[in-house]
Amino acid sequence: MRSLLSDLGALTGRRVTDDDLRTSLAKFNANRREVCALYRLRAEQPWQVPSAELYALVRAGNVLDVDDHTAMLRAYRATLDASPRRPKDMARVAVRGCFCEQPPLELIKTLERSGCFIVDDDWVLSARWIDGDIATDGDPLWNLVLAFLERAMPCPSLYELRKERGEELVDGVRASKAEGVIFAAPSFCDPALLDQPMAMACAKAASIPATSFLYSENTGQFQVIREQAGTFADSIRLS
Amino acid sequence: MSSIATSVRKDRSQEQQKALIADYYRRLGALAAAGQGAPWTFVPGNLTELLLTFDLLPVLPEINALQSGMRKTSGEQVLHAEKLGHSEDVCAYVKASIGAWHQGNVGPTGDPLPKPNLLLLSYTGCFTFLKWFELLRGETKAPTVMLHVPYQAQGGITNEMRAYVVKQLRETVIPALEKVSGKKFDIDKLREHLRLSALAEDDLVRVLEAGKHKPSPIDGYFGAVYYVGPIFTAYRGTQAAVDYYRDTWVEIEERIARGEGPITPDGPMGEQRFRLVVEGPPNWTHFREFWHMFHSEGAVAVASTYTKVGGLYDRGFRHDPDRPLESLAEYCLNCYTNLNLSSRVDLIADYVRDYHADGFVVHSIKSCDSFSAGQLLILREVEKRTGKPGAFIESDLVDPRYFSAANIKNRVESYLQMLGQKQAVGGHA
Ligand code: SF4
Repeated sequence: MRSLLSDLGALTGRRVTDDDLRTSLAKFNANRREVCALYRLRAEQPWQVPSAELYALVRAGNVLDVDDHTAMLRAYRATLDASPRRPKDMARVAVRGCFCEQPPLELIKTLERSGCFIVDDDWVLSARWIDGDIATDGDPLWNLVLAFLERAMPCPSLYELRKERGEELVDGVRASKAEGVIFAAPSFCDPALLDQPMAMACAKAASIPATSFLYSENTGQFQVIREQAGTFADSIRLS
Repeated sequence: MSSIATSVRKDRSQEQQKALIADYYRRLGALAAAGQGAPWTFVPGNLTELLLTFDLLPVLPEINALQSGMRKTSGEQVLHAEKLGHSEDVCAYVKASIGAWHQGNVGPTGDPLPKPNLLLLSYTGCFTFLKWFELLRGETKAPTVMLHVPYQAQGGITNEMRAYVVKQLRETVIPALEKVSGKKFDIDKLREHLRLSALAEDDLVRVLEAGKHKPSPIDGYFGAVYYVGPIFTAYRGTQAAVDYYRDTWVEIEERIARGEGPITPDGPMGEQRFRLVVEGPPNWTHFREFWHMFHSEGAVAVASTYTKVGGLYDRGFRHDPDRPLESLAEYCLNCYTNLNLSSRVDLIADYVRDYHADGFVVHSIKSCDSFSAGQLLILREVEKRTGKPGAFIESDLVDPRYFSAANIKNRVESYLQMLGQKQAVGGHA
């Protein structure tokens, strides 16, 4: 971490102090809190926070200044509070398998149009990578290292020591009260594809209904996915 | 493959190699029959000397997969895994090993394999290793120990990287092996295995560097697969490996003295018209057919990168009894799979120059994303640096569906024709 920091300093011509790092940690803590609050709200009232909106909002954080992004998330939240949407009855699903190649927005809209409330997902994981705040006192780099080692989100690209593969999926499904899982892995993403059989087996063992398909970032045809997801949503609602 | 004779004349070393591999599987079979387990681990970053110190014999799933590929049983294993939900697009070695596990955990020679008593995950650059052992952990419920080897992202090894690996060996791997074997770690025993490793490594380097001679007495890719077999499996650090590599070197010296080329599956190779360097592993399901496409046209591989995935001994590395854990750490850090793209380009370009090659071939593996990513860039860069033309061929390791013989033959023939035309014009390619 120290050599990375000094390389970045050499690149940008700016020496970063511990206080700079603490300030940055605090800003990202605040940002992560907002993202996670929206995720929680979506799990509770999915009609209030359509996933296509949430995804676009969170993904915008990849290119915006962190303060601007936090302000944007708060403004969105305020809009929701000011004009609540009407509850709807759709199948509650968790979507898994997306790792770093992010799905096209249209794919998410397709899943929602097919009758699914997405109440849990693993998109733009970097925005929620650490569970909870990172301490801003003491050695900031050490705090960052500890957080990455001990409180990182489970993800196909991280070697899993703490639990059996797939257990985190079952935990996520239970926490978000999802009724089924859609595995939507990008074709040619080895971590996601290698992970899938383990996650599928865990879902099966926990009697969680599941379906799967592949997509690529430039997928433009969603009709087949819409039909498959629609049938899956119907099967959940009718069961 | 009816046009290819199945057995004409074999090297002494090839017979010895076959006997060693057969004996290895027999010993594994005996363990299985006795209801005993064995540690499962990977070829790159393998810690064979350390395992032998505890009287443990490793099972190497990649070797099982490739041996199954050569014996034409991997296709079934791959299909079996796909039926279980494994994707068509992932590493075929993984699927072969999962399929084999589900089909009764029988090895390629028909001997049963011992169940893993430890999954020793030496992570040396290929991400799939992590997922593979997570999958096997799920299937076998065996305890897993991970040796995290930092990637050579900056193209070198720092003291911190070495110390980090040594610390894991001391604090994690050795205690786990003590537990599994019920034996105390004996560093002097390890030193003795490392001493034997270094002796075998010296002769292996002599064998592989014989490709610099004209004519080349070896095929440094197809033929060399046999040479590296013992040191890639469980023989590094043993007297058997020392003897095998000594005998092999003597055999090759004799061949050099007689001005002879390698022995191919169709007999002694004739005129060597093209000297090639090859990047990427071979296809195993059609190994002989693939080799035939080259040697029948007078193309000999003088050097290859695949024969270095089990260790880059020709770049000077040796296991060192005076620095036992440090040298094991350096071995892992130095694996070909742990090198960044520019180090791989350097290596291939050096081979093209040092082995006086006329060109080079990149054999890209469809389902090996770890290794194949960046190979087109490697091709362009090596061409630019050496001025020698490269060829790009794609197939797979152990999934027979992806070996398109006609296409590959076409590709190889037109590449060699092009080299031939260059020779005709310029005296050499
Ligand atoms: S290097 Fe390639 S073939 Fe070997 S395990 Fe990794 S993905 Fe599979």
